[in-house]
Amino acid sequence: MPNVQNLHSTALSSPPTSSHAVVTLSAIVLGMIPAAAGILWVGGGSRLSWSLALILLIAAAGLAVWSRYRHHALQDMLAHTHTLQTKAIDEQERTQAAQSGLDEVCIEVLPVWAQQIEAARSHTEEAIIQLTGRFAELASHIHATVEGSQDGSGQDLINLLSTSQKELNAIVAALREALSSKEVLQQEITQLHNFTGQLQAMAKDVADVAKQTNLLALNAAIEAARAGEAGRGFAVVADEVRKLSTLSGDTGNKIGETVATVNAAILRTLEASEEYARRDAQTLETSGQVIEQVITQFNASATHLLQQSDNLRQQSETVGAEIGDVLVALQFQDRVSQMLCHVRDDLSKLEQHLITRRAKAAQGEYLPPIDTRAWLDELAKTYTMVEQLAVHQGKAPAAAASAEITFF
Amino acid sequence: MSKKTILIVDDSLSIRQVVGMALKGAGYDVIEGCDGKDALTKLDGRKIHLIISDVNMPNMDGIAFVTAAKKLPAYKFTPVIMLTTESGADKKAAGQAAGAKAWVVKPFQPAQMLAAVSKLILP
Repeated sequence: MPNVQNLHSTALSSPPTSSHAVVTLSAIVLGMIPAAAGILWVGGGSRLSWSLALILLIAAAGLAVWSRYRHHALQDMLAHTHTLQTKAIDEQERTQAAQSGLDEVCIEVLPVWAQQIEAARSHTEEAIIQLTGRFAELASHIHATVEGSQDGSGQDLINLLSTSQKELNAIVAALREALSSKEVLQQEITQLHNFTGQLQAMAKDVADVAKQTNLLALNAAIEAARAGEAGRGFAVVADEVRKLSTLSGDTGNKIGETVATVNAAILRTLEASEEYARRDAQTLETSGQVIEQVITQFNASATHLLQQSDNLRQQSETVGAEIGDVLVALQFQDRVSQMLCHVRDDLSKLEQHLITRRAKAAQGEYLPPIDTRAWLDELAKTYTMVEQLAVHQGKAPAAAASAEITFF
Repeated sequence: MSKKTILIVDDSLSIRQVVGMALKGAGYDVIEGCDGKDALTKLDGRKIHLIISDVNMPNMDGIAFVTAAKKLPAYKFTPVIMLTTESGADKKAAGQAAGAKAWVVKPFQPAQMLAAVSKLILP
């Protein structure tokens, strides 16, 4: 700080050098008059002595005029200098008065600022750590979910439905085959019905043959009766043949009746079989349609589920990527924290510096002015990031470069 | 095949969390140190396939930590990636002299970090 006392003393003790000069010049001018008289006296009033005396007097007069002008100029200059010095002293006193207590304020307020910055930095750090932790946990869960959805469970469901459809179709095919077998059976029964018709015809033939045989045996008996005693034996034979033909006829009729009964049963069986076959075919058709419908519905549901699962997985992946970006963005906290630490440390450094200066001032030590440029240069050396340097140099803080990687 | 282990050294818990998340997601095991001094205690003979270290840390900075780690026979050849806000050439030269294999400036993209890790990590 400039020494005000010295300025005061310098201003108040400014010597009136102009007075000395005026006195000296006046003496010279006054000395010139007797000198001119001396020249006239020595020259005896010659033209030369008159000329020299005149020149001397003119010079004396000029010197006197110049001396007076010089005196006024010096007086003005001294007055101006004195005014400037007075103003400087006043300015210094005003500055001193303005700065009075600034150091004290700084010493008191700087630690408060540093603590406030540290508190803000600390709160931000805690919040960011919590955020980061939660986001990391979210990302982990999403990752696990996406991994789980990629284990092929959806495809397994589709495969299971496809297999089920094939197996059910195989069952339907087996049932159709069984139905076809029944048709063969029906054909066999129909054929059997045809055979029974033939059997009935054959039974009728048997009855007819028996009837003819009966007539033949009756004629033989008549002829045997005509032969008399000689035909008695033949009559017995003829009678037996007639009895046999009657039995044959009865048997033929019974066969016919039985065949008719069997045929009726076969017909009923055939009709029932055809009815069952028709119902079976209808049931099979309905079953096939129901199976197809159910499988189609299951397939649609499974496909829908699979699509939803895929959508969820894609959305999860998107959210996971977004969280990754958020986590990258949250790295700003590390940079902000470092910047705030540097500001805090510099505030503390300034506080310590002011305390030291105050102690030195109290001991009457000389205090050189603080070198602002050196202070700023020292501060710049502590920077670790390019944006800090940019701000320091009054430039717009450049956005932090992303992932600059150098391999050695 | 057992997982590979990576040591993360950073005084910022949030950075350790972000790096850890990226590495765990890629199938690595992660152990952490909160500064150089703390990280040295983790170099107890266990197999560590790669080290990722910050530079500016309290107690012991990253350059001093890497220098000390490289003097340990078990970790002489363990690759080191410096992860820092510093991007000055003199700091990078110091990191290289200490034995680092790569210099990554924060903020980093996890994908790029993983690419650097997979390029340098021990087999």
